[in-house]
Amino acid sequence: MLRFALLNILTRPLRSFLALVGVAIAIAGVVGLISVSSGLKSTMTDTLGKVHGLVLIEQNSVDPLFSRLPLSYAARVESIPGVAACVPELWMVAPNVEGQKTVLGLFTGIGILGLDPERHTHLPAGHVYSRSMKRGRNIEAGDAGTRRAVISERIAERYHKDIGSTIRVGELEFEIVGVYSTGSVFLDGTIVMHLEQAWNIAGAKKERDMVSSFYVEPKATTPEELSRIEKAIEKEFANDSRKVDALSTQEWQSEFGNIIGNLDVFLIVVSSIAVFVGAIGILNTMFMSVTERVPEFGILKANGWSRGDITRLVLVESAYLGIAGGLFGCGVGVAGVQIAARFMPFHPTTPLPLVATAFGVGALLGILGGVFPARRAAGLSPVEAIRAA
Amino acid sequence: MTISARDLKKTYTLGGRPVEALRGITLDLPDRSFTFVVGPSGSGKSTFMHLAGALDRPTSGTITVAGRELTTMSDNALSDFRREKLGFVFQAFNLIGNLNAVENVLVPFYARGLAEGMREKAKDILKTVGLGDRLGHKPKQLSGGEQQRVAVARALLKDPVLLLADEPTGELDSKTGAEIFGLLRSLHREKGASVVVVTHDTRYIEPGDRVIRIEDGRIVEETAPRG
Repeated sequence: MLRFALLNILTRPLRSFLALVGVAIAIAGVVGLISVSSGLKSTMTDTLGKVHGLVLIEQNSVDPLFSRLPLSYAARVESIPGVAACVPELWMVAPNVEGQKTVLGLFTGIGILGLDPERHTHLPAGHVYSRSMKRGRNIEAGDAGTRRAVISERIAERYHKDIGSTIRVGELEFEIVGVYSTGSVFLDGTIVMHLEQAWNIAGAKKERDMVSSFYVEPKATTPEELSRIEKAIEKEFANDSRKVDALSTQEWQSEFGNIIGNLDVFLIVVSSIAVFVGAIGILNTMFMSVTERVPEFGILKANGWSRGDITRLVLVESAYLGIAGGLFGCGVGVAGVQIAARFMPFHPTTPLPLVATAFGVGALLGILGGVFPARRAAGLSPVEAIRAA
Repeated sequence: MTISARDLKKTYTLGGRPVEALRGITLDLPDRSFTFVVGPSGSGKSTFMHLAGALDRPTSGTITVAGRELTTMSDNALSDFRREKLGFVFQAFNLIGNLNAVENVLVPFYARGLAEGMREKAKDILKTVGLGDRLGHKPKQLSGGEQQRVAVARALLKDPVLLLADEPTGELDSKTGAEIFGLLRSLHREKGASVVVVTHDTRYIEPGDRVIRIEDGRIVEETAPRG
């Protein structure tokens, strides 16, 4: 029966191919979108794993880029028992680098981090950029009043720069004193400089007594101590006009997890629509096939094929379409992800269970798409079917 | 008896109105008989064949074929019965277009798997019916007579107790029609199967044949074999 069913599918190659493509597009979409989401998740988890302390931002800001806090908060944070260091940070998007805006000509896609190197040296674990230096050095207290910057290997490669050369950020030229690489796409797009210089680039846009956020490291890094300090910090600023959210790595992860969770729901809805359309394609193909083959089912019934045999035949045919569509879709999806990865700032990941599930969905889609046509074929009266010849 | 029918009736509904195709057929066809069922179009002879072939169920009455009371059997049991005991040859040849001659002969057994040696047996039968050089040909590549030979070969593969033929020469010229009847008669003679031919063409009736004439759903004449 398996060979007979395959023959029936191959007899109508164009129609079968179109139904198969319908399923394949749906499956490729599922594999592609979930691979991107999964890659984004693992990249973010990896990035957050590099940050050990707390990040303080203005209450209800989603990101340091949208947060503004008074510089004077640093001293108040450092006075809280258990805090080892509190580093003020000014985060912003570079207006242009080397006169270029590379992302659609609108912005650079590169961030600027202005920090206070003096306080930096008090961090017990060291700042993530200090720990990731590949060549040269990080910004130091002595760099105040000079235009010096540290760039990532990615930026160095992109602008063909290295230690000793200069890089223009906005209207100002900076001497490159160090090159770092954290390995995270989210962190490696940053030019690090002295807080003073970041204020200079910002010009009138940022007040000189305001920063974006503070990076805080406790003396002891147990989860209990971190939690205690977090609460103490939030309490310290509870009565100020600009209140503070202290976020640990776990909380960032959880926030990001929520965003990705919503993205996953969206992806599942989009994929389900595609999968539904694929199933309709198979249903349509099989229904047309059954309608055209009424006399054939009459012959089979006259020659001893039961309702169950006819049902199985049609279901096997539609399952073939689903399986082929699933295989084709998985292949296209995986290949598409590999190609897309070359142009993406992070690596999409395609776990094997995802491919297996997508393939299973394709096969299931095929079988479900064949149920109604199979019932119709099986229910034909042999006499009526033969007369239709 | 190969077929034993008692007060067999069949009523169809056509356009919301009942149409009595068979109005009480009672007959006995002995084993190894060769029977012609003749009559004008719409007389009910094909309906009788469908009931005898377990393709349809009567409205009332009983019909026993090869010792099995068909009216009491389930749909699945009827399917098994058709596959194992009955052979069919239809006017329109009824071959499956994407299968070659050998595959068309074997198709009744595809659902349950082919027994060992069945493919060779199918080829041998096709050679017997004169299609030894047409084994891999599909229906479109065969003439009408050749297609009907494939249909006969398919019936022969089962070693049927009863072969039912509905206007088997209806779409063939006289010479090819005679050849097909030659095959049916050799099946009857060599395999001992009973043959029922439903036709309005009486040219192929021979003295040893039983002839049943049906008109308006009733048997109006029954002629026992002569000689």
